[in-house]
Amino acid sequence: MANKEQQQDQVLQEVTQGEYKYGWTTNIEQEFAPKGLNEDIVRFISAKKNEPEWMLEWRLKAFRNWQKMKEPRWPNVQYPPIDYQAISYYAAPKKKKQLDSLDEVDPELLETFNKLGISLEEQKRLTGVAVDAVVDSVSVKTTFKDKLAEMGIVFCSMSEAIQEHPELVKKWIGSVVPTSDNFFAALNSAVFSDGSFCYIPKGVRCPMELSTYFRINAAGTGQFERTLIVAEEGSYVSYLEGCTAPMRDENQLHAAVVEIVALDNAEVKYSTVQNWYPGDKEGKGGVYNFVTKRGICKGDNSKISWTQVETGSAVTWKYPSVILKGNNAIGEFYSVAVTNNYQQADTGTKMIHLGNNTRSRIISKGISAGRSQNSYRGLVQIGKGAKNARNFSQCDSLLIGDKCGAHTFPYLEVKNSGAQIEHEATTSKIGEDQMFYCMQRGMDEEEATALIINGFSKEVLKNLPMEFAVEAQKLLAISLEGSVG
Amino acid sequence: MTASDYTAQLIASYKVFEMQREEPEALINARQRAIRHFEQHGLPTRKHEEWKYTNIGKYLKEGFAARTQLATEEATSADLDWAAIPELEANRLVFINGRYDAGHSEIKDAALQFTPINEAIANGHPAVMEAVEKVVNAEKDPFIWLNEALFTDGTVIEVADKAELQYPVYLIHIEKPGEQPTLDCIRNIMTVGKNTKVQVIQNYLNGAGQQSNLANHLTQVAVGENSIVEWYNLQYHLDNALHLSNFEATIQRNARFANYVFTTSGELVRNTSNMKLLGEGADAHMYGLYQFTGSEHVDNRTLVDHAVPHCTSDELYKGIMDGTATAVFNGKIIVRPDAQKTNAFQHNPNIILSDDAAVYSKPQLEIFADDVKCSHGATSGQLDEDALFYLQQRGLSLDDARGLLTYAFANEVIDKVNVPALQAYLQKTIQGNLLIH
Repeated sequence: MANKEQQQDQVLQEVTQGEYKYGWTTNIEQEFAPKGLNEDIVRFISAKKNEPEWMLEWRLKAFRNWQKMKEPRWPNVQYPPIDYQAISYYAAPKKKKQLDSLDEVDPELLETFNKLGISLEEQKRLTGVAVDAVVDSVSVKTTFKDKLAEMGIVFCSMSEAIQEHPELVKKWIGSVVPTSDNFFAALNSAVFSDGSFCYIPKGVRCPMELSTYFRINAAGTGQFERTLIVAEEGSYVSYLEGCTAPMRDENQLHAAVVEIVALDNAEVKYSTVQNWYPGDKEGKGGVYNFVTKRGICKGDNSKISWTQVETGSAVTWKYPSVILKGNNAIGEFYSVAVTNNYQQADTGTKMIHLGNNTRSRIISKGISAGRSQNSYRGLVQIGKGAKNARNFSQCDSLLIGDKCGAHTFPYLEVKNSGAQIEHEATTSKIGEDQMFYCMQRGMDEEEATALIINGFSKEVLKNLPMEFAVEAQKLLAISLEGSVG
Repeated sequence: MTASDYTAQLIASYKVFEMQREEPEALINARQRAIRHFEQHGLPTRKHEEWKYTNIGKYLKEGFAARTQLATEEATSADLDWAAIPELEANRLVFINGRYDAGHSEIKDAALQFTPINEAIANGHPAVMEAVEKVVNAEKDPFIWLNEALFTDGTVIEVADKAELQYPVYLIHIEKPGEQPTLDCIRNIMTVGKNTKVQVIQNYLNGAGQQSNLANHLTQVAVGENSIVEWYNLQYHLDNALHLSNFEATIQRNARFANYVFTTSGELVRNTSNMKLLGEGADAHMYGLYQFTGSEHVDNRTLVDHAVPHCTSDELYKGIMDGTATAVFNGKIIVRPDAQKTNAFQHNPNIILSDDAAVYSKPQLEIFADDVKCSHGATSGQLDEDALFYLQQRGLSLDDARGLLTYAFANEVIDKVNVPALQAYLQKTIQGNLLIH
């Protein structure tokens, strides 16, 4: 018994030492907006980006909406009030001129990406993934742009899109997440500084994975990026997003918006590996990740699939949703959320069924360790007109240690006799017999736990694109390092 | 009448009520505190998470006047026939508009100690103040405050340690509106000692004819060590009634408590059941069945609070929805940080038979201990096509096949009833509702 306690102590020690390996800052020359938020700042950002008048108007409208809104308090998370006037809403690596090749990119920035394990060069050559890297909310470099352009695919930063494809941006921006949608979406609409834009023309199957990396670098800044993906009829795209931030004592705010539109027969697959800095072992610092992600299956037979691996952030508030408007549309949500130390996550999805024969599937795996709180919150809504709608939801939680919490808050709203809805949720710890079995075969406790957790998350991880799946598995192991008791 | 007008009206009624009652100071203080809380919070709107799917304001437009003195209406034999359960032998306690009706009541078991709450207050019975001080979930439901402030009558039932009751207790609550529909606040308190067993059946009759009263019940049950208590709520005769019920039970070591709710009528029925497991080895069961064909609205809310280790809870609420009826289910399981080795299960399946019916289900888990097994499930769907086909193939008409399968679905809950006469009565009622002959 004493032996076991010792082991637990040792393990606890290791947990507290498990460090965030992405916690460095890059010394890149930055350009800041003054701290605070008012209409002038919105104008400043818009002017900095050289935006057309309609974009500025749109931002101002969002800002005025935001002023009337209240920060949501219903999520099952606690954090001190955010002073929105103490944040700098614009921080960009100083841009000297338009860059044409990677050679012209600030070498220190390139080093940043190398540390992230996403050497642009290497990615380009080896994996054929097109990457749009966003540092402190400004897009730095988009690879493979020309190659994609040949097929008519637009993949560029949001600010570029506003300059070069204003008609597309104007048509679709805010169509899924309106400026008045919620507090953080309104804030984002007012001050977003960049993000990625992706347009897949009719009938085109995007030949490679499109990828964006986000990194918050400067202190005292918020990151507000905006992603818009439009898949025209019969097109297909798989999109990846990765996030990291340096270690800082104060909390940083990240309030992003992602909008996806899928027209008839189109399919969009959106994968996220979120690894923002989660704060230290005392719960100090870390990123507030308040994100609005929503897709609309506008056309018949369209499909949107969200896959997320959430290991970072001090506080997460995020519900990637799908509005199933077209007939036979499919929405999917696969999620693994890991919380450790003092992390708090309130995440889940919304599936709004409006069309006939629409189907949705929710698989959510929550793993809590340390003193963290992990909540699943989801809505499945079957409208009156959605004949033969089908939903399956499964939310499993795993608890490691007796100081953490796992919570499930599903909402099922069914207004139709043709619908078939199933929801199930379980909460438990790792089975002692499973552990015994693994350890009997020579694994140590930690390996056994990692193995079991990987198995627990398999259903989600297998939905990630190859390159990501490997990274995600490693991340899971790192996040839970030593948290076995 | 707007919600704020109605709130003001209720507060004014409280002042009249207070003047007419002669009560001990402690109780008066508690009532005043309650009405102040009510005044602060007001009536809930749909913006309150707990009232998201039940728009209570819509039902209160009539402005039910709070009852400020004991009712004078009498029960008739027709009322009692209505409440009769064939072959049920029981200790019968009848209440009319909240007032205890001794003339129609009958206590068979000498071991059953029953005192109408007004008598208990007059005698300074300690159970009343204990219960008043112990209200659990008031923050979320202003009707609990309202009950605390305005309850006019009700029961204090005590069952002593090792008492042997031969018959179940049958509580009949009849609401008969006078000239004006009223708000009746009724309080039931039951204390069960150690090593004993009690079965309680509670039947509500309200809303016959055009009018109904608004009934606001608060029931508090304390279950002692090693005891078994079963509490059956029948909500079969609530035609166009508004019925709000709050139920709170505390369960001690190795005790078993089961709560049943059967609802088939009522314009608005809201049942809130809170179970608190306070001793190791305690066991809570909650069973519900709601079946509607009209425009009813039922809102079932349950909360199981695992405060100590080694407890179990099991919950099954089933719904059969037809017509334009709406059902809300909100079930929560809380496992406190030290409540290791908890097993808690919850299931809420629904069958929707009409496109105009709606089901809102919100099963929740809040788990703060790791060595537990907890699960919940909720489904909503239709009868199995294959099963329907199978039965038709064997000569049943489609309607009969449907009725049979629906009945089988419902019977899983009725099967859990441990009073044979009641079980037979429930089966017959559901069969009748589903047109099975």
